[in-house]
Amino acid sequence: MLRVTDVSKAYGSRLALDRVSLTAAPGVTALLGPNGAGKTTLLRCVATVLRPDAGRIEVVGVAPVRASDLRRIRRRLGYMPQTFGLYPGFTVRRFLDHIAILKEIHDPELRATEVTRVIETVELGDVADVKTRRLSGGMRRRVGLAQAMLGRPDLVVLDEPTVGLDPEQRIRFRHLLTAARTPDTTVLLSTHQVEDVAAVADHVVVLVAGRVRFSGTPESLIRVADGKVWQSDTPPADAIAFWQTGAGAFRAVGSPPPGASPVAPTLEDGYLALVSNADTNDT
Amino acid sequence: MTPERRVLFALAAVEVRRLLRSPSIIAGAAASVYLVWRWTSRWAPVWPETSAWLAGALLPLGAASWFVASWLAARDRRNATRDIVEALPTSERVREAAFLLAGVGPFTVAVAILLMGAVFVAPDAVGTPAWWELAGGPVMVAFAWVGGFVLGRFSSLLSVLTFPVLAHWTLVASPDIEIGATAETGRLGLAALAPWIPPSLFEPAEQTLLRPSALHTTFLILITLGAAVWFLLRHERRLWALAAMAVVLTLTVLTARRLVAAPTPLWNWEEVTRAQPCEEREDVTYCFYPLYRPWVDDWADTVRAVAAVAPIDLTAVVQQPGNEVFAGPYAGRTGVVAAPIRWDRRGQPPRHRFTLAAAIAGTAVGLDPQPCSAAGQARLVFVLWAASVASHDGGSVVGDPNLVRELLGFWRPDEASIGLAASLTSRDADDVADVFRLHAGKLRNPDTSTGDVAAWFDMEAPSPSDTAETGLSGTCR
Repeated sequence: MLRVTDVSKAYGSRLALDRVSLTAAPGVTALLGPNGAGKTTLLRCVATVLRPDAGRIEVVGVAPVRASDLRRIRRRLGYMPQTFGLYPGFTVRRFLDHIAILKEIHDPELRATEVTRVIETVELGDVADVKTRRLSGGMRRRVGLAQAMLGRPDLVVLDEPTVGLDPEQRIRFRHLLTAARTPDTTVLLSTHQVEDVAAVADHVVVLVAGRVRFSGTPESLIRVADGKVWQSDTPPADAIAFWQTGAGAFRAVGSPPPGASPVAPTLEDGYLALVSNADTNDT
Repeated sequence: MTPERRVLFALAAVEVRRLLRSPSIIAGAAASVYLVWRWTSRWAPVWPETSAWLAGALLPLGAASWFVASWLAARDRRNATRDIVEALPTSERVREAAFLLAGVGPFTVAVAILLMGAVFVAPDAVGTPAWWELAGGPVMVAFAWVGGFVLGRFSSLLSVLTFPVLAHWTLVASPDIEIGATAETGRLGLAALAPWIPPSLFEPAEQTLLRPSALHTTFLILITLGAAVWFLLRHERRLWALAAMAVVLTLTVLTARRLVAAPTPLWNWEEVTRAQPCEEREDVTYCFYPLYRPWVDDWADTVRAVAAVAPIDLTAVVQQPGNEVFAGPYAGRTGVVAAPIRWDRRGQPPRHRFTLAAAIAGTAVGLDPQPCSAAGQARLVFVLWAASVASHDGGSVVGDPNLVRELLGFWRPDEASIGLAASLTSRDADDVADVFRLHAGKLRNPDTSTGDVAAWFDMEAPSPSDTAETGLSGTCR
């Protein structure tokens, strides 16, 4: 469905993507990484908004070589950028109708049905005829998701869809995402919220400093931290990362000292172990 | 139809529907409708002139179109929706083409207002419409749409807000190239420096009216091309920028040549005045500019109405009512009445009929329409009364001292004379006329006062202070 091969992109002298390769099949693929890892750049390239300097991106078997290829890809693509605006004077329905036209849904009746469908999918029926300027941050992100879902795209690219949302809204958003996906839909989402990945992703790709550091299932990412997580009563000296739990004990990730009490790792532990190793390797 | 074309038309249709609900377009259209009414309802329309007024009345709609186009063209940039729309299958080219096509909306509104205006003026209008001038209005609206789009698409937000406003203001302020020509010099005056002269804030709107002539269309094209050159240079498309600059230069030279060349005035007034055709009705010769023949019946009717109440045989003094402007051949000739080059619109106060009737009545009592003060003179009372009874609804004019002063200001009509004349209109016209005929000899005498007239009608003499107004040009003798 999505195949990225040796894609590089630089902004001036700064390399944002360095020969990135990954594949994404139907299901949810989460792109995890710290700030500045190149997640947004990669997603913009996949969404055909940004042209990579080198490498090849194939979406639904099509590589954007000519303008007609771009159109073919975009017809089967839904994209929600990390930061985006809405036309403030438009109602939710009008805005989605406008996007639906640009998605080549010409027939007015079909368009109205499709707009209503996505509005219901993202649970915005109550505010469908409210101007977008009156929407809360969470509602605006749901409009962003709705426009990406228009026309039942094969590939949905979501850049930090839960950023800025409170925990309740994040859970709701995860629920919507699960409800909106079909067995044939590939969802590629970027996030630095590990809980989101644990909740919805079938596959995880960890991007650090423009390079792919990990690609696999969430379970295999957890296994990266096997034997590297322990608890102690005193602050550990050699841990990659540690923090004090509510009970007062210190939970640490890294090479455990002799006699430490190992604990079962989580996805976050796996991610931390991986990212910290990458930082160490980079330096 | 290809998917692109289907999107093009679907998007354009949706944009048009939105535009027609846009407050700016609605306000611009409403202002244009108001101007059509304002500029065509006060006097009987003359097509060659009214065509330009009708087109000019579309300026508010043009300004609104310009503003809306520049605002909407920057919509995705302003609202940070570019990433969303750029990932959609509809290309920027199609989106922009659809946007430009949506200009059909304001253009259609412009045509509708123009047609509505034409239907409104047609029953009373004389002459034939000037199609080129009429078409200039909607064309200007279309250009405003394209110009606004180019600015909004390629310039910064600040420019989007300010430049169209400034450009349109100068455009609105631009007088027409031909209006700037005078019979005396045959050359353009200062007004020819249009469109770079700001208007006087104290001038009424009519005085600063732009006619959307070829010059102003050229101005719009130059603005658009200027923006294009700026954009092309910024994007290092030097060859295209050079080509656009060459077009700008050519247009500028052509426009400059048009500006500096001696223009052909719309009218050579003196020549046209001398060549007026004339018609005789009831021993009075009426001469007129060719366009105004339909008004001769009204003039004759006015003369007849004044003659019915005049103290002398009017044909002895009213020789030749005719059109005259500026220093025409009639100037200084006693007994000649210059008919106005405008006439009253049906349903409006009879301003022009009243003025003509007053001028004719004045000749009957030796009062020429020249600047001098007739305040306090008996013959001024007669003139005002006669003009009033000779005009349908003339009472509404004489009952409004300010309006009388506006129409007959050259005689410095005073409050007492106007009031006396107004009170006489409530009496039987034949009885009043008989009294004036009885005193015909005294009536022509400048020394016979308003108080004497009051005495003839057994009325109370007006206060002397009310009759003391004198003009700078001296007392009428």
